Amino acid sequence: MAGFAARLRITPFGLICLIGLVASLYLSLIWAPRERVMGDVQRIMYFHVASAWLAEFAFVLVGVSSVIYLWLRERRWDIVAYSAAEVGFVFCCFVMITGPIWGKPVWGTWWTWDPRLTFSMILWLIYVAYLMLRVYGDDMPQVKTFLAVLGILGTIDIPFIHFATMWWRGLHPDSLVMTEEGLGAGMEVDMRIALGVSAVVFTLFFFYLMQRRMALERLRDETESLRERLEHRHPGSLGA
Amino acid sequence: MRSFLAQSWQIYRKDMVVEYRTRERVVTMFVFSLIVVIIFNFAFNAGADVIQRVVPGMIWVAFAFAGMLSASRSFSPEKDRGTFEGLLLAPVDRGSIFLGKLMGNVTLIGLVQLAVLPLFVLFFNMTILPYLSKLLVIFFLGTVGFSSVATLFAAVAVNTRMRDVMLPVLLLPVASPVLIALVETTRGTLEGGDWQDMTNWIRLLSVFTVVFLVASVLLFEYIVEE
Repeated sequence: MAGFAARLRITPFGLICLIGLVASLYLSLIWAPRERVMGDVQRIMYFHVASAWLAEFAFVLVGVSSVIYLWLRERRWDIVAYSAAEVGFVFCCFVMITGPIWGKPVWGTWWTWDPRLTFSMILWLIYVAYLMLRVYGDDMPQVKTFLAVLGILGTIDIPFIHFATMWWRGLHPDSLVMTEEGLGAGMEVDMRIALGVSAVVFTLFFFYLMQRRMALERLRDETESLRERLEHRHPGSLGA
Repeated sequence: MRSFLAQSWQIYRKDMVVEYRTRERVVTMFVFSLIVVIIFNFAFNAGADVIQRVVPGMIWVAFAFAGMLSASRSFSPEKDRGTFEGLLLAPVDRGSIFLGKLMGNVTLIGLVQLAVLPLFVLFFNMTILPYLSKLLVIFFLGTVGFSSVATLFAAVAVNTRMRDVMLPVLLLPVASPVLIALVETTRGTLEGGDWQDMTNWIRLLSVFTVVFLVASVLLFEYIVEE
């Protein structure tokens, strides 16, 4: 087993995540009872809710590491913020994809401007803004500072978006029918266990991806400094 | 504190003198808002009852875009002419530069709002006179809140390659709570609602404005450092 893992370059932590994901798939898709009204499509909730939690958590992580970056000016905190944003964006996309797949058979519509959907949409756009600024600003020396500022403002904004989307829909009672998803308190114990396991496993998996992403960014830095040293010693040896 | 405000005032006065001599920003913002109103009218092609429901949204789309124009133009000419470096070399607090720019943007958006609102009344047969004092409070709060974020992100966007595209991409998602609150309070007021019906929204507008104003003044210093 260890040799197999080493050949695939899976760290022990990665192996735990892999086993956890398989277990979580089993619990969610087979072990948890079938929902009476919604049927099997309800099972997507176990992954949807777990990713939604990480999409929001990741942006708070971006905000916290951005504050530390502005304070200490150490590259590693910028790496934490960037990696959290990228991995968080993947989870946010997953939320945006699984939501409509569940919504279509249950609500009869792919999309509705329900508070939580609207919230995820705005969060997703803030992630997009963050990643776009990273890509289009990579030739500027101050881009890390700009990103930290955006990360901080975005995190401060999260409660405001929560309340705004909640009250916005609260004023239109005709669409409230759709917000009761029938998931909360009425959940069976088995379902709650499946959701709990899924949330824990997804969180571990999030940190695993973060770890890999941060390692990649550090490798990039190293390549860059090696390249500079080589260029310094043998000018022109690397072509343009 | 007094010198901080005095410095902001000097920056503000400088920008207003420049604007008074060229009138570039106010005129483009006004024409732009006017076009938005007319295009919306075509887009909806709606009867009076529907118009009453969509007008608050139209008002704030027009002003949000005018606000972005103002914020963006408060930095890009300085950057292009190289006068921004001069401004940074001036012996003033960086936060006061931000506050001066922000006051300039609020003033210009306010002027455009004063000019465009009567046109809404004219084109869409709206009644605003009985609600004028309430609208004034809402518009002021919202414009200050929106402009703080807009001014800060304009200072960021002006440094990027795709500056004209970056400002809306950065600004609008972050400013969305304040835009939702503005549309809802404007609609509530125009429908004759009381303050009591809108307590939550007014609270959101005020807290957003205070929090983002303070955060922007503090963070601006990091953005302009070399």
